[in-house]
Formats: sequence, structure tokens, C-alpha cells
Amino acid sequence: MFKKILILIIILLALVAIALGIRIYFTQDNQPSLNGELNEERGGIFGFLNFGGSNETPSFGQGNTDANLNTSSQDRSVILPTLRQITTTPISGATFISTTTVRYVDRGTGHIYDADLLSFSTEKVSNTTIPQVYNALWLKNGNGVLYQQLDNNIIKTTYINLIDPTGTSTAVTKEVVTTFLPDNISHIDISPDQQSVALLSSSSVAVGDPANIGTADFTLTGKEWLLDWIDTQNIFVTSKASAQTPGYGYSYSLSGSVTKELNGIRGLTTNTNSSHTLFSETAGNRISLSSFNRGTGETTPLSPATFPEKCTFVTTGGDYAVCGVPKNIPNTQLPDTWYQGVYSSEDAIGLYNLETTEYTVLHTPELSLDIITPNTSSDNKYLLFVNKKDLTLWTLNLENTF
Amino acid sequence: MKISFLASILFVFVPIFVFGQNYADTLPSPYSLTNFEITLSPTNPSPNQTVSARAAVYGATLQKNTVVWTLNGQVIGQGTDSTSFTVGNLGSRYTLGVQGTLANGVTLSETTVIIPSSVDIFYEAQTTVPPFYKGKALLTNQSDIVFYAQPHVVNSNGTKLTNSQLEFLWKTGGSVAQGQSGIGKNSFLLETGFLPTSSQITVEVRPTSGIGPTARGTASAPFANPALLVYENSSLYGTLYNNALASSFTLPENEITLQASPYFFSKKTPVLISWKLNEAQVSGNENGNTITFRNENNSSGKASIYTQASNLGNILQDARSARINLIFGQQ
Repeated sequence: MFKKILILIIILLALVAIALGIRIYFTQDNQPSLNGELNEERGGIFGFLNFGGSNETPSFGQGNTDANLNTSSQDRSVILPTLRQITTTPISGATFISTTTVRYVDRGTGHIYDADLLSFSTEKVSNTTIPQVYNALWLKNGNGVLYQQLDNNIIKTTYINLIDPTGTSTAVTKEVVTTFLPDNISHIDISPDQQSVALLSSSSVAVGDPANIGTADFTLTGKEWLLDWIDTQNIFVTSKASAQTPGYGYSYSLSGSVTKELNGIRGLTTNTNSSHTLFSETAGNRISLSSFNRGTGETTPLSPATFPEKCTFVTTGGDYAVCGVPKNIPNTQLPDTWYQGVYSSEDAIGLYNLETTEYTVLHTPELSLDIITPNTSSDNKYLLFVNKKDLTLWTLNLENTF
Repeated sequence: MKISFLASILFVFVPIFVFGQNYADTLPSPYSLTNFEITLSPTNPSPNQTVSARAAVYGATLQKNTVVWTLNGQVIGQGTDSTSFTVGNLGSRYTLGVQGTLANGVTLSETTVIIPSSVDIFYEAQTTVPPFYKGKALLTNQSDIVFYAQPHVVNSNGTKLTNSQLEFLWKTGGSVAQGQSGIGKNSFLLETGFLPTSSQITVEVRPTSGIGPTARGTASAPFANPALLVYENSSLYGTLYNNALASSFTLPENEITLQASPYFFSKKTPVLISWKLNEAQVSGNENGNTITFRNENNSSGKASIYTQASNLGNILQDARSARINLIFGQQ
């Protein structure tokens, strides 16, 4: 009798071992390589691993969902967009350094990490501690970054050049060369080729390489402006927005000419590329979204409404904008309350065709996302964005969308 | 005697001759007494604006069916004493012509040159907002506001004029603000007072050369109320301006530092901030804008917190934050 029980136990243990082995075999490709440094530094980890409904899901993030891919496009092979959380702690800014690698700055420490979107591994690129980085803007394919911090309400801006370890150093992290820029640079934008910056300080705009930049290339009328590079020679300038006031948008060429493109639009917020300016307008407490064709001068309404800052342009096979789109927009003073952090949106992710005005829902997350600073990989297979609610970094797989 | 007589004639008639000569210079010809007068609306068209024009003849009867309108030599209207057209971008130039015949058979013509010009007016309230705030600072009572004029004025060659080539005439309450008007003066400071005042201003911009179009613009800034928002000031991440605290908030660890951010208070005088914990006054940091709450006994419960801001120099400016229920310990 005892012998039979013993054999039964051995068989059961063997079955459990086999099951465990199978499980490990089928999931090892998706395993994150979380090194100790990362955990210590509160840096990025993939907070959610897509194990097909596994209970190993951490509290942040979400894997495959009931994605709502465009069903009207019959010719598309349907691959459900996969939403993934890259960090569980706030970041300051992120960029693609390859089609599948994301580089970002941890807001608390200023440490820099690379996250691989295929292997889900994360590695530290710089461990130079610069605390409380409010903004990080990337240049030169991730080899340069501007940090903005606060010191007694004074905005401090530092340019960090990342270089490979020199000589016989065995360090795996990059070395940093810092350049301190003038105080109170109120707004920064990076040129589309990532080689230059435009810095707004008071009413002066300086343009160039941040490691060696002058004081002013042109001067704006007043101080309350936001900069947005159109192309390497032109910068779009929009007045800071309120629902209570009309806004203006101008195109400044680096050769000195100024062209007014958007005139007296209440609550104006914008997002511009070389062919289109997406802009939102406030009427009463409702916002609307439109596309201004910079070539023809025509304005086309788009629906549903969103803030242009929630969008990024895609120009593969047409003119598109991928945007976070609020599921509902309350009757509140926008965009003021959104900027103040009083109102926070619950976004779906959608695609606007700027030529046909067709709108397609790409993904409807079940959790709360208030999307800002979206950006796509150069092959348009991944959307990268920050959730304004907690400043964490996310990615959405856009494969077969374009 | 002869000399005296000649002098008398000269004295009496020469001035009459000279006066008559001048008068003849300024006097219209018999036909031009009944010339066209072209009236434009608006008087100073902006770029891409639609313009209405009307021709009138005073002292004679115009045969309307003979009227022909031309714009840069192209016929744009016939048989009517009015027309409309849309001007182009800044730098464009139009010669509007009208010709018609009077009942007495006399043909008249007139032309006028239109150079589109405009002025945009922005305003920036001198009020508080947090660093990195992407929205606009709003005007409140007892705050200052600066209006800026951005002119779009070109000369007859189509060259855009710079501020130093333009004279700015600022008006408020119907009167010209002499001290703030002049060549290159493209900004105007308006101080709003204790009593409700209008923030409406008008600016006229014209070339210092006296030749060229005049651009006019009017703007007024609405008055808003000061506001006070509370954010978490994280020791690790800094102030989390992305999320204003309201209603209930769970203490993430054993302590939390809150920051009060006054919106739209005058920058001229400091803002005083006070904190209330369960209706009792508590002290913040040196500036008063941040305060740390610590759960020293690891107890659990709720606390009601709000903050108030006032401006001693501007008694109309005060605000109270939303009441925040801070939840701490195990619930």
C-alpha cells in the first residue's frame, strides 16, 4: 500500500515538473530581464507582461485587450494592438533610438534607460544622478538630451551629451558631458532631424546645437508662446491657450519671414508638421478639432474632438494623425483645466486620415490613460506615449495599421 | 503822381491776383466738382478680407448702367454703384478703379490704392501661474496686463515695415495714452484697479513716413477669478503638476508634502498662503506654499485639508482650494 502511494506521489511530482517545464519553455521569450540595478533605481520595468491572461499581471498596465481595430478596412490583416506599460514610475521624456528600442529618463533620478520592445529587457544607459527632471527632450538619436529642473521656481536647463565609455573603462553605462544653459527657458522644441533645438527665453528664440547655442535668432512679440518645429527651416509659434482668449499661430522662418496662419481662435492649441496643423478650438466649454492644410490654406473639421498635443503625425502612404482621443469631454473650461491637472481625460487611441477625415479607433483601453507626448517608431509599428495621470511610459503595437 | 497811381494799382490788384492763382490751383476743374467718391468698408482692409466699395457722385446724376469697376485693370463689376472683392495676402496691392457717365454726358473716373494691413493684439496678464504651465495667465481685478501689437503693415513696395518704422497710437477709454504711444512702442501696460474697469484698448499703427496704410485693432481681456490648486510635492519626483488634488487622496507612504499653487494672482505683491487641517490653522514652510503631513503614530483615519491664499496688497484677490480628504493608515 505504502509503495503504491509513493509511486502515485512520484508520478504526480513528475507531472508537475513536466507542466512547469512546458510553461517555462513557452514563456521564456517573453520574460523580462529585470536586473537588480533597475529595481533599486525605481527605473523602468515592463509592468505588464502579456502572458495570455496569466495572473502574473502587476497592478499597472494591461496586455492584449478587446482592441477595436478598424473593421471597415477589410483588406487589413487584423493583429490586435497590444498595449504595454514600460515603466511603473514617472519619466521625464522618451524617444525611439531604433524601431524597437526606447530610451527614456527616470524623472526621480535622471538616470537613462533603454527598453527593448521585443525582448522586454531594460538596461541602464546612464547612472549620473540628476534629481527631479521635469522635462527631458531628446536629440541626435538619443545621444543628446535636455533636462529641465526647478530650483526655487527658476527653470534650470542642462544639455547632456551621452558618449561611449573612453579608454579601457569597463563601465557599461555611457559617460555624460553637461552644458548648462541660461535660466528660465520657458519652452523647448527639437527640430525634426533631431540636430537642433529652439529655446524660448522671455521673448527671444535661440536656435542651434544646444552645446553651442547663441542667445537669440529672432524675437517674438510677448513671452507667452509655445514652439513647434515644422521642418528644419521653419518654426510654428502658438500663443499660450485659454478658453477665455483668442489664440494666434505664426510660422517663423529662420531666414526672418513671418506668416500668420491661425488667427484669433479661442482656446487655440496646435500641433504642426510640414503639411498640416492640427488645432483645437473652444466654443463655450466644448472643444473641436480641425486640420489646417498648410499647402492649400483649407481648414477641415475632424471628429471626434481631442487636443492636438495628444497626436503625432504619420506620413506613410498618406497623411495621418494617431491620437489619444477622450472618450468623453466634460463641460469644463478647456484646455485650461487640462493643463492645470484638474481635468484628466480617459482616452481611446484613434487614427485620423487627414485627407479623407475618416476616423478609426485603434484601441480602447480598459484602464485610464490620459495620453501626452505621443511618438511613433520610424517604421510606424509602435506608438510611444506618456500617461499624464501618473507620468508612466507606455507603448502600443501598431503593426498592420499603416 | 504817376508812380503813386501805379503803386496803388499794384497794392490793390496784385494780392487779388496771387490769391486768385492759389485758389485756382486748389479749385477742382468744372468737371471734377462732380467727381466720384469711393468709400471702402472696412476702411483699412486686412489681408484676405472681403472689401465692399461704393461710388457716389454729389451734385449730379450718375447713370448707373454706365458704371464699370476695375481691380488692377480687370473688370469686376458693371452697371452698379457698388462692388465687393477679396484682397490677398500681406504685401499684395490693388488699384480699384471706377468709371461712369453723368446724365449730362460727362464721363468721370476715380481710382484708389488698397494695401492690406492688419494688427494682431495679444495680451499677457501679469499674474501668477506655475512653472511649465502651458496655459495662459489670466487677468484678475487689481492686476496689470500688457497688450502687445503685432503689426502687419507693408509700404508701397510691398516690404514689411518693422516696429521702428511704425508709429503706435494706443487708446483706452476713448483717449490717447500719450506716454505709451509713439514710434516703435508696440506694447501697452494697463493697470486695473479696485473698481471694475474696462480692459478694452485700441491701437492704430501707421508708417512713420506718413505714406501707406493704417492698421487698427481693438482688444479687451476678460476678467477671471484667482484660483488655488494643490499638488503633491514629491521628494523624489518634484511637484506633480500633472494632477491637481481634489476630494479624497490616500497618503501614499507615511508622509506627504503638499504644494499650494496660486493661479492668476497679481505678481506685484506676494501671495500669503495658509493651511487648515480639520479647520485648525497649521503652518507650512517658510513661504507657506508647501506643508508636510506625517502619520507619526501609524494611525489610520481621515483628515480634511484645504488652503487659502490672499494678497494683502490687493484685497479683491483671494482664493480657497478644494477641500481634500486625506486618507491615511489602514482603511
